[in-house]
Amino acid sequence: MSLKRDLPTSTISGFALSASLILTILNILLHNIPNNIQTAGDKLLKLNASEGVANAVTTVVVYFRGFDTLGEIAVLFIASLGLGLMLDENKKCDLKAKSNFMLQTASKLLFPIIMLFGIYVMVYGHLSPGGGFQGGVIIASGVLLLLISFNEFEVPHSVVSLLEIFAGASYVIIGLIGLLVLDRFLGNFLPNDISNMGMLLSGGIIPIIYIIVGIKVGSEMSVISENLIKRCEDV
Amino acid sequence: MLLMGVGLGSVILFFIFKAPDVALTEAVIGSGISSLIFLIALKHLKGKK
Repeated sequence: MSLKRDLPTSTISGFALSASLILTILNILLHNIPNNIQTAGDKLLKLNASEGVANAVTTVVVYFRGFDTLGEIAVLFIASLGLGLMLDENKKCDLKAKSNFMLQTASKLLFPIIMLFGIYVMVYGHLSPGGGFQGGVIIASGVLLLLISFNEFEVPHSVVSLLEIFAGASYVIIGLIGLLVLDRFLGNFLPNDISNMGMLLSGGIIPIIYIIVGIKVGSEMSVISENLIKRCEDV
Repeated sequence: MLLMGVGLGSVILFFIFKAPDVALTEAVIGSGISSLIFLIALKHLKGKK
């Protein structure tokens, strides 16, 4: 089979369309930013300062839309569950190709750095636009690196299931405590002064929620990638 | 190829919007995880044929 293939016109036209779209967005953003657009986000942004969290994205995702975040975690859990059901546990097939020496050494070197960066993104979630989902995916990519470089490496299932149970249960429990104390699901019942806005320990329950989300997303993505690599389909 | 373009564009956009951690995450997902999922799907298809 020759490497050279003629591209279908749909691919080329789709690529041109997306490129022109991105260029248009960049052009609009860089040159004429409209300053009188009234959207639903503006009202939320005005409310943002009352919660004492430095980043507006975090406040909207975790606090005003906290229930939707719970739904997103549930969707990820269902995806992981479906993969586990579809792929047979007893049929193990390792990657045929053995990874070489360079990949093994590099992954030993890089794995702690990736984990540290993921934990940093998780813990600083309420101060920067990133947060639990991003940190969890970065941690899962570190686990993925170990999975493709060492054939005998396995994700410790007992630890991962304990972490997942803990994270999912404590999200709901914190939400219900908020419901009991402040009559709102995920009410911010911890002290959240505006005076220490921007500190690491600020914003009440929002950093705790983001760390929980990060643990859950990281463990689920690790298990998904392990299932995809280590198991064959039962056909 | 489309995914590559969209990923690169969104990385640049995230960086302009002062979200470097989200930009790094998008780069990680686009280069690592999605390409690995494509490769594993290819492997499974070859085994079936």
